[in-house]
Amino acid sequence: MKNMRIAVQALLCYALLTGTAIGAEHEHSSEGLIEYREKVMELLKSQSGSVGDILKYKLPYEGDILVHAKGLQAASRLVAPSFKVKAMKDGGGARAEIWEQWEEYTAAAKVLEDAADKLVEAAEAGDMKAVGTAMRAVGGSCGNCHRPFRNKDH
Amino acid sequence: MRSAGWDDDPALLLMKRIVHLAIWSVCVLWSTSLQAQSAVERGEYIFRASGGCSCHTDADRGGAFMAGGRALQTPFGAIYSTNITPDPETGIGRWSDGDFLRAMREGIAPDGSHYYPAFPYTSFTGMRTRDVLDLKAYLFSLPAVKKENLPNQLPPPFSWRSTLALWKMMHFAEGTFTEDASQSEAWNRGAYLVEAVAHCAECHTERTATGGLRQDRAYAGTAVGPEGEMAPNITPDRATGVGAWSMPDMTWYLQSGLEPDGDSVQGVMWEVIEQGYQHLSEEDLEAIALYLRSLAPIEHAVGAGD
Repeated sequence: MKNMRIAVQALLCYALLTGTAIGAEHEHSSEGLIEYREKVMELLKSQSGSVGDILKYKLPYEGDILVHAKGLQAASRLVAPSFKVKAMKDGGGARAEIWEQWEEYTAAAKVLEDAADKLVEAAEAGDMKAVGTAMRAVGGSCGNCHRPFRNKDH
Repeated sequence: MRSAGWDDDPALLLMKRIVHLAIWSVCVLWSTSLQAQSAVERGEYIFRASGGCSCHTDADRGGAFMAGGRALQTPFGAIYSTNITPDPETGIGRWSDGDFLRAMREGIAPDGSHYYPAFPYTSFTGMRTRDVLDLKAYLFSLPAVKKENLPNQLPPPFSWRSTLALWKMMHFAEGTFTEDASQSEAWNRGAYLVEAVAHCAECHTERTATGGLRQDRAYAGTAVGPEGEMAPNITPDRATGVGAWSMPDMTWYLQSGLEPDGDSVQGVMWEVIEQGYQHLSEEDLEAIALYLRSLAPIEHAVGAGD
């Protein structure tokens, strides 16, 4: 009987310790997930910011817009997948609506993908007016997704 | 002896007059049509410059364009935007030019009651007559939507419109925009757009306890902007405002909604850009940037201590 009690206590201790370890690992994963998707967003910002610089300052790098456009196009494909595992933090940008309204969220992310495709098309054609229009659409797709899914003032 | 001609034959003379009258009528109708068309087009531009009147569309709930019903949360309660489509029963379809001018520049409804300053007549008062009437022509060209206005949710005494007369005495300076002869044409254009048409101060300025704009903090941002969102400091202070932004940064932002680092605009401002500023000419956007950059920089980190 005594041995049985010791065995149950040992089992409980193991379960508690394992549970704590799993919890810690889960917390660690959330941080990793958030860090990763923030980097995906940084990729987008960097590419759209670069195209913006070339356009607004009329820099002699029009030929490089295609490189940035393709970078933005590739990064746009990472946006929805980078949120597929739910992870939030206090004061963070992500709203719970992303996971509560997953279909709407992925549809909004698809608008960005389509806008990025049009940007690549315009850059390939070398049509700077169309590039400007496409970049405004990219900006619009960001704004329209952030409004319902990103915390205000973040 | 004079030979008989066109002028001597009464029948021919009558026919000639009828032809002249017909040509004249066609010319008048054509000219009127052209004027009406251009008033609508000019009005659409003014509509865009005002930020696209996005408060009058309840976009989040799929509301019809300009049919109102959007709740504007204020510290005093909720005010619902009104139907400004040309529906004669529930919109502004029966308004005269005088009614529209009085509403826009004096904040007075056709029935003589005062408007709440959530309708920014405090800025629109600076608008030129032609711009206001062109805006009316554009709004009257939109599809009429039958939709009753919603009652505001304000507790007494804020629900008593008569108290707004006192509010106006405290906070409303009526008068159209006057140009500054010492400044350039572009600066004056920017000042007119920013101060009157685009009514930037209404969202980007902190308010007093009685709901007036804090003139000592004009354009320096507020933590409690439209719909409870933060509105940033847009004075040229380098640390807390947009002083580190270049002119191209500012015009590009107003065209695309993208900040210098590539991040995108948040909240209501995106609606304002999408429906409004994105459609303005580059010259007007540069004029807006020029004027904003000429403001006195005010150090005010929005959110800190507001």
